[in-house]
Amino acid sequence: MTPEQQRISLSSPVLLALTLTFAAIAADQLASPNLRTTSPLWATFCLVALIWRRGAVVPRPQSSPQGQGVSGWRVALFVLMHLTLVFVARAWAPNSQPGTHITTLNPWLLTALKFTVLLPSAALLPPASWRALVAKYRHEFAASIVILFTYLPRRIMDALWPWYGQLLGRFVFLLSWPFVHPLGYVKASFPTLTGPALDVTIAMACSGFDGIRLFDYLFGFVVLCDWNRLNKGRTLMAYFVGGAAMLLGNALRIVFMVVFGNHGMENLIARFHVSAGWMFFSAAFLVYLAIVYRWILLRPAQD
Amino acid sequence: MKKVILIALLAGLTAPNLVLAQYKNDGWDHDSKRHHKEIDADQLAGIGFGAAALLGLAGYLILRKRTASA
Repeated sequence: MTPEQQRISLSSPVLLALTLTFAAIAADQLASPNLRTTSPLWATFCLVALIWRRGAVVPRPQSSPQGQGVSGWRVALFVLMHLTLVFVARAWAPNSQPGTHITTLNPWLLTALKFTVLLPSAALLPPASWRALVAKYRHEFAASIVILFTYLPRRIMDALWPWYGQLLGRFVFLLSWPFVHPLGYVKASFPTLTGPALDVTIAMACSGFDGIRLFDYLFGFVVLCDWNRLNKGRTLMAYFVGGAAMLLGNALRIVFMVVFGNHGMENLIARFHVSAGWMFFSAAFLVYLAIVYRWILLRPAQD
Repeated sequence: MKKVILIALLAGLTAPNLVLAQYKNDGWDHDSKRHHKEIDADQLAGIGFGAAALLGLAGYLILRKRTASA
């Protein structure tokens, strides 16, 4: 049996280190919600899951005399660093609640603070072991870094809204205008398209960010299931193009609402637009996946 | 053992939701000791999201099966 064909051992240092990292980040989240560690939590989970999916054993680095496992003093140092982080975060913003904005902290500082929860993991293994792991699992690490930076960046989306809301409103107006007369556009932080029968206000919930959230989960599931059959470069490209396609699909969804809502279906639109929106995003994902699925899979010759 | 650990990790992913839940209304009307009957917007969105996710997963699995058999 070659190393590539072997199953990863439950006692392997990589698995132990990553599982400890995951458990510590989850504990951080519970102990100090203001750390906002959701994306590091998901990134670590995906790293563990993808390494498991790959199923290979990491060769132990020869340069590391103590590379046989995770030593006790390293775990103690790791726990101490996490405890310090939690106490610092609690002392810094003791009254902040999840789901609300921390206005007293710089958002960039907050983001940096969020990523610091991954730093203690460096103490779990010697640098040579981490280098060997990154070299061996470069695709898996790259995927987890993508998740770390793109998983529901709510604060970035909120910051983009004043600009993006206007762009979306103008774009929807442009596409709807040939079909609805008269159609007006009211410029506001939540732009409104005024029609003869139905006015449509584009709120944050209509931004398409929820569609990207659904796309993230579904695409992540596809990646997890097919990891060993995927062309990694094409998959990365398909991920970013898919996110953009969901935003475009969302604009079309609002165009349909404006057009059909002003042609006798206003009651239906008003009643079902939220649930129909989710179905629309799901359908948009499936159409997109049907187009790119064969393309992102490895061909037999590449295998 | 692998499955147990995977389930434990999946359970760990709910930590952010647990934290959020602590700060939200528990849906209990403490004055009249009765639960609210209405579903709030978050719950409605959650139902929609769940249904859409299930539909997406089912569609993907069908597509995967068709691709494998082609």
